[in-house]
Amino acid sequence: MTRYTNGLVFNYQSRTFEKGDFEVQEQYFIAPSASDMPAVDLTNCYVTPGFIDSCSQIGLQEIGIRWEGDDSFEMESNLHYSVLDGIYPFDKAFQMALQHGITASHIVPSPKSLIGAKTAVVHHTHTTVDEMVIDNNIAFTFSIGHHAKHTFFNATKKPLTRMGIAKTLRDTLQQLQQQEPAIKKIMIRAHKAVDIELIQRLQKEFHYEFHIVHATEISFIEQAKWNTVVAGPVFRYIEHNEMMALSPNLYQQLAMMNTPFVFCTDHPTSSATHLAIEAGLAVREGLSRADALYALTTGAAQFLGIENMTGSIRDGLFADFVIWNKHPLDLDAQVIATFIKGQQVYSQKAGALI
Amino acid sequence: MMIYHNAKFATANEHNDVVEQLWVEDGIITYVGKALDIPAHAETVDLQGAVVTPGLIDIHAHVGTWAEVTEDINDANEYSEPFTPLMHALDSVDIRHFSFQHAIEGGVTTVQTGPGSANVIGGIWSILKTAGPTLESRVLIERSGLKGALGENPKNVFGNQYKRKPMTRMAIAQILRDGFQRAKQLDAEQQNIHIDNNLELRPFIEVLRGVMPLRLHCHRADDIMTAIRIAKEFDVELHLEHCTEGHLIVDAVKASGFNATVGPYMLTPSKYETRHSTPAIAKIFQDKQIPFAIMTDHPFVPIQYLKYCASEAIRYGLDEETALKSITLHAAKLVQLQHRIGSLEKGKDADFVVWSHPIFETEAKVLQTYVSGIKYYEAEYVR
Repeated sequence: MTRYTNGLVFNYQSRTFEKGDFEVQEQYFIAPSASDMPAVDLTNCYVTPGFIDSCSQIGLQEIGIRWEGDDSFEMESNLHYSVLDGIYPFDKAFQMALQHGITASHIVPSPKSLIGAKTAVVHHTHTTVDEMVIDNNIAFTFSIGHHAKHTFFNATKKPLTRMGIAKTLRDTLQQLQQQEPAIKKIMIRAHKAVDIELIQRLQKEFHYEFHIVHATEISFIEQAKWNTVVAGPVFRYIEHNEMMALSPNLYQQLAMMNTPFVFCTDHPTSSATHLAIEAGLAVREGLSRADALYALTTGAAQFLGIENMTGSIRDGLFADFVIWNKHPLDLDAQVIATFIKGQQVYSQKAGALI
Repeated sequence: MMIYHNAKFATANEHNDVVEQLWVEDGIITYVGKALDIPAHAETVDLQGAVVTPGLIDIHAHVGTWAEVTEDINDANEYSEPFTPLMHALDSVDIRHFSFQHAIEGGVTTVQTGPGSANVIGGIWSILKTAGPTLESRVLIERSGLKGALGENPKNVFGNQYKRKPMTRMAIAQILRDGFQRAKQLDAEQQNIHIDNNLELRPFIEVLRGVMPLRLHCHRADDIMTAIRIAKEFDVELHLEHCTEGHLIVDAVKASGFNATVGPYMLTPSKYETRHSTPAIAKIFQDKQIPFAIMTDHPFVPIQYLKYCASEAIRYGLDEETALKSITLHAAKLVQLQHRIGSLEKGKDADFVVWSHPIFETEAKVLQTYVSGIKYYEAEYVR
């Protein structure tokens, strides 16, 4: 059991930092006892739950390596594919993400995959994938528009048009209902308004919970009700013509549309280390720091359905937390230490306890 | 005359002075300092408590040359040969490309741009302002360096894809040396050779004569050392571009006496030779007093996020003053333009950026960008 005192702790209910103590027993946060046991003093430090990247290819596409380390895309689709079979726990990016306060990622296949795979959320501690998994079969993913078309154009296979993509999508969703009845969430990568409108039609036809990933042109569509959008990343270059509208404005536009959203880097599209910068850009455009931090932590966990396991500092949850020297959304904030399931997995000073 | 007041002017001069007024006449700064009485004929601009920095400078970018939406029209690499010294940025840059607009929106007022890194010798770079009616009007230095590249990129394009020379780092070094050797011989044989635009070895002669430096793309430690070795052999001025593994051989980099333009470390390492990339390099170079500037390599990190590259270096220990200078005054010094740009000082071009908050704060947004005293950008929203 370890007691941490005097830190400024992010409260998931008030969404503010409050001076307070918390305790960790083995893997979990526990209710603070009034004991006078020795404590780790966190005076002048900020403490947040571990950040969660809501869409990432970390471990699926190993950084600094090309095809040898890429397991994010399969040409022949199969509804039984699971990202768990492609994750390489020793991808250096996991360690880099820990240095930036990210303790878990929702792992999805590459944007090249019209029909993707079953997704999973994993902790960034690395020994075996099975130990890393927080929850799997969270959603099934698709990718429509430019990337999907481009993939099949290169292979001159169907589908070559948006019509073909829509047909494939409908057929697959029907099969999925039969073959993978447990899956309730569908994530679809889409940039352009025309593709987002297809998702709108699918929402009426199928009893799935649809989530848009990227959503670059979502503000072009008026008066729509959307489930949580996995927005961004916006810290990246304009790679193709469907992204011409890419702007950090996206977050503020979603807020004005009353559409709930979470942040992602889609690592390695943008680096996992930029998750806080995505939130920082949202703040620059007018989002409150409180709401941005909530979306990086408790909000992301809620979206993924793992809020009873992680994403907040409260009793009974995994002790996934990060100690910062400054407000975590300050551009120069440094992570002093990162903890997963109560274990220190990163420390600024090598080998030091905090 | 224009007088800008009611703002904190972070001058980025040698003393990091923060002052109260900025006077501009005909695009040139005429006074910067404490608040003075305003002359009757001056126009005043109330900046409402904003923060002003010099216009930002990115001395390694491909603004206006790199196709960002489709690869089909990329004008940054002449892939037909690994040795293309006659390619020139000015023949490639499209001043109407949206990357210039993005630069202005991000507070970047000067860029060094030109050929990319596919070729062992790619061509000549130029230094341009990011706004102005014509290409000519934007030019600060027309021939600012001979750009070459070592390592994976030429190996990949020519060896791996085209199955031709260079397939190895040995051949890359040989191609470079060959250019210098032939130029040296030509220059020795014909002392007063007329060097016109069509003379293939002209750029090498210019480098040998010290008219412009050699700028070599080098990521891996061995490539950095090769660059230094070749520059010493021919006694030419070298700028280490990227210098990604420079922190692994920091004493050797220091001993070389050359400087470096570091980055784009904000990019996810996408190839083997960049896997040791880290924003910590800025602080490490600062500690060793190796002169450096921070780059975006636009479009790889979008030019409008140059400020964020400097911020990330602060997160890894660099002090704020040096971070600002690495994208202003120090960058200007590395391209020998410190008499014109890089700080808010009397006699320099009136290139400046008005920010809503201090530049490295999360909330900081560019409100206005000025180039040579002309306002080219104003944010739409009201604070």
